[in-house]
Amino acid sequence: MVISPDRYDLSTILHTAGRLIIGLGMAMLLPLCTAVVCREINPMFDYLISFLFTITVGIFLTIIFPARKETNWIHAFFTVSFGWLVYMFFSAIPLYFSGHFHSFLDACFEAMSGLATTGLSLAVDLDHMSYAHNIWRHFLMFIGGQGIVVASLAVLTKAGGASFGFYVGEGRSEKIFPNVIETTRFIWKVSLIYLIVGALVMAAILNQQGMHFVTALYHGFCLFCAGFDTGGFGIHSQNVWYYHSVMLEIAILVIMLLGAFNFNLHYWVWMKKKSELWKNFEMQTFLVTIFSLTALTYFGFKGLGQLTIFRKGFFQVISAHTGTGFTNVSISEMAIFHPLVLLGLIFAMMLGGAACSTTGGIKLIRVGLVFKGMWMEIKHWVMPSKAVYSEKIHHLQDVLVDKQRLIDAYMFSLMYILVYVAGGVVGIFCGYDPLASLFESVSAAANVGLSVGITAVTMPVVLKVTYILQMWAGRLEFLSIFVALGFVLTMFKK
Amino acid sequence: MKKIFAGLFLLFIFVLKSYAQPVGDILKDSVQFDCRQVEITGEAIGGVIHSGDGWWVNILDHDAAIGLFCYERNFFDSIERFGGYNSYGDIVRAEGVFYANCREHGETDIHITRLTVIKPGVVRQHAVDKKNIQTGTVMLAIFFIAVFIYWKNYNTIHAIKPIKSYAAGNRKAKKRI
Repeated sequence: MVISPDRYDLSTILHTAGRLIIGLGMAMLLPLCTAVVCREINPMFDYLISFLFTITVGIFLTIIFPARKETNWIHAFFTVSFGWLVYMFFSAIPLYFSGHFHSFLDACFEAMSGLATTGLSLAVDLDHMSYAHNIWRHFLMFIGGQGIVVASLAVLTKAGGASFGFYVGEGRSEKIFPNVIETTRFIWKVSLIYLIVGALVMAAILNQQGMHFVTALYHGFCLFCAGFDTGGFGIHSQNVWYYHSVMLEIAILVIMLLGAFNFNLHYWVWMKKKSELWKNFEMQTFLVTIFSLTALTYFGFKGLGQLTIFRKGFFQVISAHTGTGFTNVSISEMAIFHPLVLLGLIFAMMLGGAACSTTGGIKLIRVGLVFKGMWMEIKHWVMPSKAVYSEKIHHLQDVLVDKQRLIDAYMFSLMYILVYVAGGVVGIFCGYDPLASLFESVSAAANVGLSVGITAVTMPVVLKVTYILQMWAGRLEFLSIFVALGFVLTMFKK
Repeated sequence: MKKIFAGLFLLFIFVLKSYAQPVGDILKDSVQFDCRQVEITGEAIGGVIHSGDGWWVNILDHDAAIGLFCYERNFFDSIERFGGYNSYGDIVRAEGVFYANCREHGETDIHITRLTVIKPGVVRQHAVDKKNIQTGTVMLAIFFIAVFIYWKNYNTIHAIKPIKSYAAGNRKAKKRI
């Protein structure tokens, strides 16, 4: 039976959206304060106007549309999927005011890239951007990566039983605690601890390089937000290449890996068993994939020095695999990488990091299950027809690999691959090289942010819109979008 | 006639020698320029960075940027202003050897042999747009109105008790409509 929504459902959704918009408006206080402290007058007005506008819209929505119904899963999925588009719109307002974007669509692209922790950028003259705008770009990654909808609801409303719907809707499938709000709070707490430690370590490294401590702290904060939340934005157009520091790149590698690990694993390693780090199925899959992909790129860089292979090869592989998109090479150089290296990076981007992390892509557990399923099928052929056998994986506890789990893994993998290919086809139709189109499409849909040069202000509007949709769908992992679309269709069916 | 041609040829050589290659072209054709003497011009951005055994300054030439490396800090002493939000940096001309894959640093860089400032940087003037002040004032007024309306209707908004939704909830909701 298809449940048809009524106007009470819409009223409830718009009421929740209003609260979320207020939450986003409050987040704008950080860049606003930055602008005041740094005496950046025009950015201050950009954020003041955006803050007032966003909060006002949020308040009016909550007044005009009261919550008529208790929030349920359908409301949650609808609010999450379309809420992210609304968030993109409001987040783009101050960016557009900055004058670093040619059109509002470009600002929306940047906002979605930030929220979805992708890192593809359409900003022009990035090297002359204000502190406030850079803080906002990077803060978008932090709040987007942590799950902005859940976070807003945890603070602003009592979502009750539907809170798990918001949580799942934002692309997370595992809880750390029985209560979702508790889980979210734990994720935020862990992230804040890492933020303080990570930003300070990177600030210390940069300070050693001659950077003023306050400036170093600002760089450290931005690098941490973009690294831990696997975003990949940079303060300068050269991204990480600007710093010319092996030490900093090693620190960034650690932060990218920490961001790509399952939050559940963080909890287990810190609070329960340290051995989980080596026993975990996701970690084992990660080791296998990282070794294979590094070997593949090694052949592409063969003949160059060890340091070059480490910095240009290994750093890029980890950046792609964790879905971060930090780079220490120029876009022109990446475009002329050996095809083997490009293929290795495409595969790394496709796979992504762990479930319940801030990464995009298919996710390690699904990749592992796909291969496990293949292995089980081969075993099934080899063994006697009446033989009964079972396979287990160790993910926090021993889990039986059943058919449903495998179907889910195959279904999600297939959906991701279809989205990757679809974006690549649009790129080819726009006249770009097939390999480059696939690279950029995977980078957008897997929320990575590495680029071979297609993402530029000059790219066709259709491609900008395609990448926005890919970033959105990739971050939310399709489910909430499909439910929301079904919800819209049933409204027309009435 | 021969003298004119010889003169033109020398002039051509001089122009060719003093012509700085765009950074974007060098990076695009990095294999061709590898280990060759290059001359570039661009804006000094960020600041001087001390890393490893030397010093770095990044140069922005239109949309492309590259790091200049040297072992001694005094090479960069002539740069007074670096590009950022508050200023446009000095425009410098740098000569040096371009390495597509520098064995020493493991990255793409230029080891400079000479650097001169050809145009000093300037402070960026950020004039406050009057429209911003007007829009801000109007938005502030609307914001206070919204807060006032919310405060006035606080009890009415919060008096509505959300009904249970799906499946029983839906039926109840329809009855109420």
